[in-house]
Amino acid sequence: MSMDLDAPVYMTGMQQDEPIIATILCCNCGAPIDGTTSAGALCHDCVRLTIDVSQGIQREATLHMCRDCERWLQPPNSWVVANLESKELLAICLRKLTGLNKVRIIDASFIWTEPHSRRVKVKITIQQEAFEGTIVQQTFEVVFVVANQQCTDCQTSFTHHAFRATIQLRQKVPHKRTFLYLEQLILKNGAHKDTLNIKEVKDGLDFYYAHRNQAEKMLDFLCSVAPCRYTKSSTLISQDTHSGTKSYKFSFSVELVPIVKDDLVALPIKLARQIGNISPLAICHRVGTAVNVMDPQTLQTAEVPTGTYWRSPFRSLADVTELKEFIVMDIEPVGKSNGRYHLAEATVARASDLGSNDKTYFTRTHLGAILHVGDSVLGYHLTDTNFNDPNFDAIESSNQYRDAIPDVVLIKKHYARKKKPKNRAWRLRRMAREHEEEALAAGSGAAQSRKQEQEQERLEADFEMFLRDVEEDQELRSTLDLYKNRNKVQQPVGDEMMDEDSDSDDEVPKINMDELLDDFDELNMNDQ
Amino acid sequence: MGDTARIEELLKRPLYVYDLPQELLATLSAKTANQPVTEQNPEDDSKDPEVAAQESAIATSTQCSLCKVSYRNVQEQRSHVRSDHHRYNLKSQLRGTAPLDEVQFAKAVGDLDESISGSETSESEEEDAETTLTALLKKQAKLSETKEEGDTAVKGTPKNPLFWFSSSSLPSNKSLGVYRAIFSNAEQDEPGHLVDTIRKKQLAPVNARTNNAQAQQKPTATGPHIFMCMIGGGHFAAILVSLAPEIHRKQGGVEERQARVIAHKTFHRYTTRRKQGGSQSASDASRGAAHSAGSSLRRYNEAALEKDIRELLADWRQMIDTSELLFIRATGKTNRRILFDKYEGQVLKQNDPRVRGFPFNTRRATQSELMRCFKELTRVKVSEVDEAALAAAAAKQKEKEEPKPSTPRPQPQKPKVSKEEEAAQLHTTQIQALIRRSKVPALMSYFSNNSIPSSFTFQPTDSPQNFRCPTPLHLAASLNAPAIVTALLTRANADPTATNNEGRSPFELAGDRPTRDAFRVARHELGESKWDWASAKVPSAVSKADADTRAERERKAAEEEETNRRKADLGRLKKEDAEREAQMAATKPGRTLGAVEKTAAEKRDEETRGMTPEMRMRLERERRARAAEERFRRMQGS
Amino acid sequence: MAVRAQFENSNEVGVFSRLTNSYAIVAVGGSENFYSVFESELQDIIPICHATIAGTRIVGRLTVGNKNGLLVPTTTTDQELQHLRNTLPDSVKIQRIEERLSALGNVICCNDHVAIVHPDLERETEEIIADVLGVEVFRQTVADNVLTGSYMALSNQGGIVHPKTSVRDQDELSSLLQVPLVAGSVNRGSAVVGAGMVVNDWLAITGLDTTATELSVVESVFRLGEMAPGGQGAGVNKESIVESFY
Repeated sequence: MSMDLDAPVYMTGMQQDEPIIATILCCNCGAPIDGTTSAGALCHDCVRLTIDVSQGIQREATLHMCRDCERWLQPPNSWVVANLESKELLAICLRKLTGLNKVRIIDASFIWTEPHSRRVKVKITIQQEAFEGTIVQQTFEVVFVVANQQCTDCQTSFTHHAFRATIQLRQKVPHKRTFLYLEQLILKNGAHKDTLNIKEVKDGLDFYYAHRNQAEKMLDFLCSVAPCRYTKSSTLISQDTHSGTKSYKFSFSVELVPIVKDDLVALPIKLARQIGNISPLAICHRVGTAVNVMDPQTLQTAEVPTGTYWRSPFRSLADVTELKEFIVMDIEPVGKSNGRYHLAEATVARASDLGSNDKTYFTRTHLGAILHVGDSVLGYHLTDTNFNDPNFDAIESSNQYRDAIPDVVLIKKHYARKKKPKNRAWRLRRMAREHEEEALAAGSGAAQSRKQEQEQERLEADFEMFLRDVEEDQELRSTLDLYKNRNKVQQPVGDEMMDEDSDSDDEVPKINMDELLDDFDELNMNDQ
Repeated sequence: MGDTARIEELLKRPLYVYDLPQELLATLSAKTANQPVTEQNPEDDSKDPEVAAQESAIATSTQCSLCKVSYRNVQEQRSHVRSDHHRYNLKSQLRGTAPLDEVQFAKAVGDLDESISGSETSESEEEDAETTLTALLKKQAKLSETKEEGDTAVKGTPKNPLFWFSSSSLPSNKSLGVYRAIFSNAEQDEPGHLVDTIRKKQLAPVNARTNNAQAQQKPTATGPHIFMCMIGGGHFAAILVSLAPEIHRKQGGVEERQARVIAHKTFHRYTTRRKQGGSQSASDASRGAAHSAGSSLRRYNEAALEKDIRELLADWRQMIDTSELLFIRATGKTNRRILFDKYEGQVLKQNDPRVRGFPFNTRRATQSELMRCFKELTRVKVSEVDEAALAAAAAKQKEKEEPKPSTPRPQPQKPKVSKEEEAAQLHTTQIQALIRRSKVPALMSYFSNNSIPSSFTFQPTDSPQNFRCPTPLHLAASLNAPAIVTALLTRANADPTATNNEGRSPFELAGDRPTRDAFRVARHELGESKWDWASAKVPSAVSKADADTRAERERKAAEEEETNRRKADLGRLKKEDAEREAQMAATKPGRTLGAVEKTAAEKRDEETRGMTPEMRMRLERERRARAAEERFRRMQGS
Repeated sequence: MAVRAQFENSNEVGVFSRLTNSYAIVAVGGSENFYSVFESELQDIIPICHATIAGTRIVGRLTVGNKNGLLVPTTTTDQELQHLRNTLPDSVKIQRIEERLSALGNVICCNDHVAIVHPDLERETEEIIADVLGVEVFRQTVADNVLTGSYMALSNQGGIVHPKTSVRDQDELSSLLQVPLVAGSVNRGSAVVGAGMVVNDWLAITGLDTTATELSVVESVFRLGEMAPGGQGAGVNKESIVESFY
């Protein structure tokens, strides 16, 4: 403790207008002083010598700094960025000192020190009432030693395999549309906040977490939005035999139902009878937490709960890749309707057959509301297809259902689009993912294998298809967050008139601008 | 010496400033300016320097910093510290309010007197100072919030309210005091010419006019006169008094000087809030208008009082304008506003140099109080300082100052008193108390029970009071208690020839007629031979019956006078009424019969008064129906 | 003579004792150290009484007295009163008084001739003080403080008042009391001089923390150097000086 700095400054009686009339003697030194203004019968010098108001305040303390990110520890566990000799650092320093809250701080400032000395010196001026009506001001300095401590963020970033739990989400289908949809749901609900890493693998995604409960939270989220089942497994990492504490690494294997919207399914006859005696040959018109199927001939719908599905699993008979284009020759509504679906009897011809033969097919369809004569529509051509499915075989061999198998099952209206419409007025947010393959590709430079190229194309095709689905299906759209596309190139008005393709685009459903959100992240980017 | 005796004789009568005896006037001289006459030990200041040096450690403070009161010695300081004034200031200082100086405190206590005494009777004499103090403190506590600070600047030592004069024809220990307030401001500024001023002021007494003559005249200014008024607590009293005294010749040829009242008037209105005190307007201003029946009554009365007073003042305007001096007591904002506020035809001006307050405490505003004040103001105060007592006090002082080295500080020792003296002192206090309260039977029984001799004298003999009244008879006479005098003379066998230290007999101390009569009746009853009545200076004997009849006669005469005056007044009033009516008749030739004719609406109002709304409605309907019928008829007719 | 003492680690000597020219009262304590200080100074000169008042040891604050008498508060028990009567000289009048301000030692400060009392003291009490203690009673404050007994120590020779008393107030009080007064402190700067010390005409006892300066002020204002018990001033001192030569 250096006395020269610690000497308190005596506050009262600074200015004396009239000469001091000594009425008492200082009790300590016997100097004559004016009793009416003195502090506790002590003269100024004695007050200065005997009173130390900074008694309870420590003069040395330690500051913790993370060497990598140069942040300072603000107890208990937050790390703040602060330069040397900055206000923020001063705040941390003052907060570090105990006993300072009992006195009044008048002033605090840094005394310059060499940064490599790892010392921070702060000069503090405090005031405190010593006696009745006597305030003593005192200045002292506190030395802080700067110690290194790695912050938690740096700790994790420097550690491999730091995760404690992982979710392996899989769907055994050749496309990625379900994951694209899930990605949007996760983004909308912010379910990815705690993830350490998301990795794209074959047939699915891997999510990594630091704690098991975070993984379980994600698991609950997935179960609440998609039909899935999971298994849990754990690996023992370490064990303390003395205390009996063990640490595990957990993995949750989640499998999604491999049926997606617009798939043709052949239900097991027994199951079809159970869920409302529906015709076993049905189309999946929606996938929520359960699989919803519909008989396009009668508009009868049924729901296959997840549990039921996994007891008697079935595969899709045909998926969107097998859709064929038909032209509507004639259509007549029957009058029955179920929600947005209207039953109609239609006569269609294969688009490829047009001009070559006059073969037409009669079928009943649920798309009565949107199909008109001359429209092109996508559907499954059953008579033309050879299925290898035990359930379908059962239907064909069943007396009851054999006759009810239609020639064609129409799935959705086909809009003539440009190959890749670049200028959508809206866009979706994507999650940052790590592609193992891509990472590898980046490493090998131009030598991109053909397989990877194909993979990339397929991904893009899947995404395009998903986007079209979003455009066409209002119900689907309502569950997602769509953002305005600010990068869209504004087409000049005249341009649109001259473009021939624009006529065909007219029919394509558009998304109302009101439904779109502003992307604020991007706004910030633009500001910069 | 004979001259002196004559003047002494004169002093026994109350002296009237404006009509001083010639021989006194001739020898009058002013005392040195502002020197207090009651000063006891002028040589006190010349303290022995040796003593001062020795006792340097003991400070001699000459001023109480709290009360702004200065004193000369320890005794004065100690008595000051014991006084109500100091204790009041001590408490107010602790409470954080500003201390009062002497004048303010006296005023505060005076105000208190006025507001406390709800009744006409003055406070009982035994009233404890403590209760006054507590009452004042309580009152201050209530007022302290609203009171504005600095109403009066801190004054130095107050001016002496009296000018003192001495006369060469008087013993040196006697001096005459005249109130400063009766001199005009200019006269006050020249203390050197005061005597001349007084001489100039002398007025010849006026013979009382016949009652009729007085009654017929409106009060007019005849010679110098003064105006006095008091206002407070809804009471108002004003009086115009002529300075020239009036000589009434009573039956028996006795001349009596009386103040001639030119005009007087008193009002009383109920304006102060019962039990809470303070005026209604003040209460309204401080906490919003109250809506009780009483409050509206008081508000109305305040306004009415103001109107009454202003009308009266306007009436008296001429007289007031010619008045020598205006003595006005109006404490409080509202009261002052009534008198001094700007209004049309304002009579009194605040900055009028003639305006002054009463230099002593006054009681409730009544005519008798105003008369008392007038007498008090115009009476010459006679103060006597006893040389012997002075000397004794000085000696005592000296004795006290005698230092006793290296011993505990000597305290004032009470002189050793013998057993008998103690008993005598006890009797003294008892008897004095009984006489003061005029308790004749108690006094007689006290005398007989304690077998006190008729020649008993009060102890200790050197106290100033006992100096003047050494025997019970002296005391009774000086207090004007005829019953006691009679009892003492006839039953206790008291000696009327005993003289006090000034050589006066009890009879000479008697202040009024009944007391003097008591002596004469006693002379009659006891017989000439009992005492040497001549040396007792008691005039010729009168029988009780004679005295009574004389009193009766006088009373009757007074009554007759009163009835005459009243008759005359009535006659005058009647005459005036007749005149006024004649005047009215002359000016208004129109209708004079009965009441003013009522309008139709008023008539209707009168009819419907006291009816229920339904009845009123029915009446109205009928009236309208009749009107409608009437209209139809007229239309058909036309 | 001025000595330092401590009552069970407390410096407030005036709280636990009362000293006058004709007797002393000392609180009953756990150890006899405090009592022995009194005993060594006062033995065979004046009686020293071990007492409690109302069962408490703060006898100095609850009682007030001088050579003529002693006043005790209404809370004093009969036994305590009897004990006091038995111990103190017969010439000392002892009276129990009914007073709302029951800490008489705090509100009354007196020597053998005058008393300075709290302004709010009852009138009856004032009269009793005058009668029993044979003093002239004045209601005053010390440095604007009503607790005159706490902030003033007074003997027939002099007095110490609260250190914040102004010169003018000192002069006024001194003139009123007719004893020299100084402002001062005891117990290393404590302003409660009345409670921090006890004093009579030849002896002052202050707290152990009292500094030399304070003690010298006390000795000078109470003239403790020149005085000795029973008026046998310098003679005793001389003898002792002679003795110390051997």
